[in-house]
Amino acid sequence: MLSVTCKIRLSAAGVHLFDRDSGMNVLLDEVPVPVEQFSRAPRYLSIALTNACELRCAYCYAPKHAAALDRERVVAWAAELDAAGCLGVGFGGGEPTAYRRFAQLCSDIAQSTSMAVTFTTHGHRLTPELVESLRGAVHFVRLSVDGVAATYERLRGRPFAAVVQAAGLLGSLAPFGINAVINADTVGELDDLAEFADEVGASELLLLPEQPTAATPGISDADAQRLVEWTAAARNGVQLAISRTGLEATLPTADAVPGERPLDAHMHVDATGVLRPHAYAPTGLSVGDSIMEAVQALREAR
Amino acid sequence: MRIWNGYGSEHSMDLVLIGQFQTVTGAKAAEERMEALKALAEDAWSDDDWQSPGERMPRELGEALAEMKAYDMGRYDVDVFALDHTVTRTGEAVRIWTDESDVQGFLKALLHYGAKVEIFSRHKWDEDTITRTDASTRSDSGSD
Repeated sequence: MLSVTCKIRLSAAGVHLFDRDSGMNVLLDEVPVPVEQFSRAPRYLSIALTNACELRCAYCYAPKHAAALDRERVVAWAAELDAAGCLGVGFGGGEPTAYRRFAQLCSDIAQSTSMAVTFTTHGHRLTPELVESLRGAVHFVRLSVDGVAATYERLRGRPFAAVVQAAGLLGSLAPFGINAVINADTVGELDDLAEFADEVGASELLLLPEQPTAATPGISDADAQRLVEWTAAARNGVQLAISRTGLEATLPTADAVPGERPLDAHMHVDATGVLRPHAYAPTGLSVGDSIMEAVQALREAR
Repeated sequence: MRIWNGYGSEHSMDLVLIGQFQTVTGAKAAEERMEALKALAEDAWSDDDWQSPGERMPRELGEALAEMKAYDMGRYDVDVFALDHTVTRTGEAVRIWTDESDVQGFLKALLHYGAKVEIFSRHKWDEDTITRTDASTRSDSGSD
């Protein structure tokens, strides 16, 4: 008999069951939930552990000043979030594998909570030893691959063969997806990216239309249109996903949790400990002793 | 009822300092000092830095620096040693690779032992092949 332990989250949408090992979500939207029982935490929280990263991609939104979060503080936040109905934490940066004792942090949270632990990486610090130390401590990984072959090497300044090797290492660790920033450099390589994702065994290709930063204006309207047209015609072996970037209205996206407000779906903590509505948000609230107090304050401020 | 498979989604200075010393002894002393500073920075108090930025100098740190006779260093100088960096020594030359632009702590450690210091960006400067190979090996290695 199959036995599955699910995390339960209650919201206006109904009763949400989530199994972190398989990634399976079941929303019982026919079950009404009283307001006072709604889970208070966002469904998902991303955390920038450090601003440090050895790559210098022009379109990167992460701040460049030195900052890193205290490990014990992150573990304490995870316990609070878990108790308040959060389904998963995702580590980014910067480059999370550049964070000291990263594997220990993932292990601590995987063992002390029922949340999914995920992270996004450029893959160039992954070694068999690091992957081994992460085994059992992470449930999903996102590998950043912008373009293929020469385009990747020009944008990321690293050999494409190295990221192929990283995908191979991740395949032995956990289910993983491919993240791709879509801009003028990569919009013409969507077929190649989808083929790459399929070949390396990725379960998902997450399309990230380039966001404006101090260094770049973001994806152009024309390239955004090319992306929309490609997704409409694409016949891929890999599942497609897209970040919340304003293109949802023109794409046939699936609304996982109907009617979910953005702050119920996701929040972000940067490497200085400021809670923001999302990673691109210009302002937020500094997290004090309790992250759930900050979550509540952020909701009330908007 | 709705059923789907997926996890929540989230998204993600290359400097070399070269301290040239007049003697191997000086270079070794600087290398050892930096090893000691790294150990100091990785102690628990360093992690606390991001929580209490208003504190000028934790007592334990001040005492440790005084014991090392590193009277010119402050807490932010020491913090660079807690971030990802690599120190190597070849004869009289000590090299430091760092991804951070805050390098004052490294400078002080080198200058303390009388080094002549060069700093350059690897994005803009091609050093000789041997050095660049060392650096790329370091960048791609596991870190945990």
